[in-house]
Amino acid sequence: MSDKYRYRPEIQQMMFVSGETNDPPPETTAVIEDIVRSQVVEMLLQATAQAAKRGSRSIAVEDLIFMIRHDRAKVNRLRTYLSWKDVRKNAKDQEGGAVEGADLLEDVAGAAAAAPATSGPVDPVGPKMKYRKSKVKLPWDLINMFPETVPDADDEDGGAGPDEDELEANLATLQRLKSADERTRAMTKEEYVHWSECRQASFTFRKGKRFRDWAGISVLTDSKPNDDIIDILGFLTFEIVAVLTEEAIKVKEAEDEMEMRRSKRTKTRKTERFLFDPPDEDQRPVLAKHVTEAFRNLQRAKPRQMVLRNFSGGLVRTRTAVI
Amino acid sequence: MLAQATSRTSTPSAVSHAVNGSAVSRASPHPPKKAASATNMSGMQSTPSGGAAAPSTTTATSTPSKPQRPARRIEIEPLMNDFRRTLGTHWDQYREVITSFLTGHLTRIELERELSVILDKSMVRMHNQFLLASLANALRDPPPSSNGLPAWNRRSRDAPFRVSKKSGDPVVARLKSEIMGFTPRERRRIKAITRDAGKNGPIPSTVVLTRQARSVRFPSVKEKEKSKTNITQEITQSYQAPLATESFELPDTDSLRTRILGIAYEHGLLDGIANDVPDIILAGLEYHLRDFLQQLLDRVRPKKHKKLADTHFVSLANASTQLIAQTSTKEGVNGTGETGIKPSPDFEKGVKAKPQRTQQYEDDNIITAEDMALALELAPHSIVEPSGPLYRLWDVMLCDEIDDLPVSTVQQ
Repeated sequence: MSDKYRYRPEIQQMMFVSGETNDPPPETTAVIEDIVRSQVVEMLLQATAQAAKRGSRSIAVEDLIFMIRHDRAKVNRLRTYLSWKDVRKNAKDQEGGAVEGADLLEDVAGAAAAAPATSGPVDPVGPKMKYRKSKVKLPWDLINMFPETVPDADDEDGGAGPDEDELEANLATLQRLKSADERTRAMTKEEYVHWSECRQASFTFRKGKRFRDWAGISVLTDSKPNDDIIDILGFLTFEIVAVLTEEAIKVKEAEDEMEMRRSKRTKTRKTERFLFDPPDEDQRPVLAKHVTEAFRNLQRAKPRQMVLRNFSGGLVRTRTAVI
Repeated sequence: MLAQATSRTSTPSAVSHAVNGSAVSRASPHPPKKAASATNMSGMQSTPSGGAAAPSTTTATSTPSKPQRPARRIEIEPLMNDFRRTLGTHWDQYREVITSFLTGHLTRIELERELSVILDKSMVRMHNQFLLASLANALRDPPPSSNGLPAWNRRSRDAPFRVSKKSGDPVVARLKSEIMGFTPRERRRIKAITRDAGKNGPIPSTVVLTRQARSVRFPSVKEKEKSKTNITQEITQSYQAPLATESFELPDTDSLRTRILGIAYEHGLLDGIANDVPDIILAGLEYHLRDFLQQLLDRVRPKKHKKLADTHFVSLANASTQLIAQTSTKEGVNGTGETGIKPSPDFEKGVKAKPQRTQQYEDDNIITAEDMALALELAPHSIVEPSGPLYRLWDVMLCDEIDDLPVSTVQQ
């Protein structure tokens, strides 16, 4: 593995979008890049194993989604993303013009905020076009276990409402959007443009080949994964960086709070804070140790792994979890 | 006439007695044997002393003031050889019988019954002589060559015993005398050590394996460029690196590097280690320790910021105060009607005064060794698997048989 880190600007942009306002030092981005690469490798390995269980040699979209099936929010976001990819492809063909990816991504956010439970088509591009959003079918969903295809429950009103998991997933998405909203509320136009550009940052968008080299895909799998897989990986890597940043910020704040409490306890009075002091935030970017601690927190053995042994212990074989 | 008759009768009676005696002896050799052995038994005490006395008297006469010196041993070997020849094929059986008798497997009656089958009259005498002679020898000094009487153990189908004095080579003779100096059991054991003895033991003992694992192994260096002294020096140095339990802090990169190098050399990795190996190991160590501490704290401390804050894991050190705080909050929330317990006014006042203090206590919550023992009992898999220090921790906990928690004044 080369020591040269290639994705620093992308990672910086992603961190900016996820809540980190300061410039992260190079070690932080290096650690995040290493973590992301190991996660990509792990995902591909597990997906290949999954495909082999199916009897197929190539990775399918469902294999990757299977890895993250426990996180409903992410699954929903991913499905929305994939469906909008279809829309964009159709739009390109039909309109004959380049539709900016940025608009679509923001509209994804807007659409998700406006209509959390529905997947009804919303027309961002033009009222004339009618699209069919193709939802990726998840084979493990309850609804797909019957030989008869049940009509989409989301279109009915008065049907069984969204279940608890669904609500929770929507809640998580909404929360993220809310925090983004609060951040951008006070921005000027230029700032917002900058923000939206950063929001587009992706590991794989238009850089498929570079991504494949970086992740070493040719070494990992026999078959060449198609573009859908690469896109999904790009989405998931964005999610990884976002989650890592959020957790690292929490870790950093907890540490700072403990530091303050300790200094308060020992009663060493620092100089009082005045009005024109430079902001303190600048001196406290997220450090590499926060990121490693955040990663460790995310890798903790989930309760479901311990339940299998009736909480009594025994050697719990841990597997590197996909964030 | 009468006298003649009597004398005649007496002689024939004497003859008949003798005949009878012989007939008796032929028919049932028990009595003479018995008599013989009886006399032997009775005489056993007397004969050795007699035997000892007889030569000792000679010596005693020569040196009356000196104490009784034990006599020389009786040469028993020619006796045995003659006896053996006479017995012929019965020698094995005779040997078995005598051995069993001497070791207590046969009683006197059984011995006589057995021997009556084998021995006849002439041999009785030889048998007596043999046994008495060996008994006499037993009370004297042991023979100069303590290998016993090898001819005794020879079976009749073995080759006749040859006294081998033909090895002229002094080394071989010395070796032979040394090896024959071992008991037969020793020699058998030595012969049983072959090339792969001990390699695939039935069940390797834990103690032996532990000892082997703990002993320092030095690798066999074949190439000339790595000097063996350098490697052994590294290994001995690694054993002198400070231990973490002594310095009470995590090892730093340098001491860790010396230790890793020593261990690598011991196990045969003669090329050394790369530069960033200690860093990675240190990172992994920190990760593992943090994991363990997190699991420990989760089980022992109440979680303040998570959803499950109402499940109180109580630290044993502050158990009583926290229980009181818990009941006070519960009372406040639910009202006395629900819980059914009506606290007396002063109790409530006293209890309400506590929460402020317990707040401070919660911040100062100190984890003790009891907490750690409890957490490890609940989840020993947090340190992969229990090992020596964990057993020690559990063993040194002092806890009542009846109740584990300290006595709390409030019963829920």
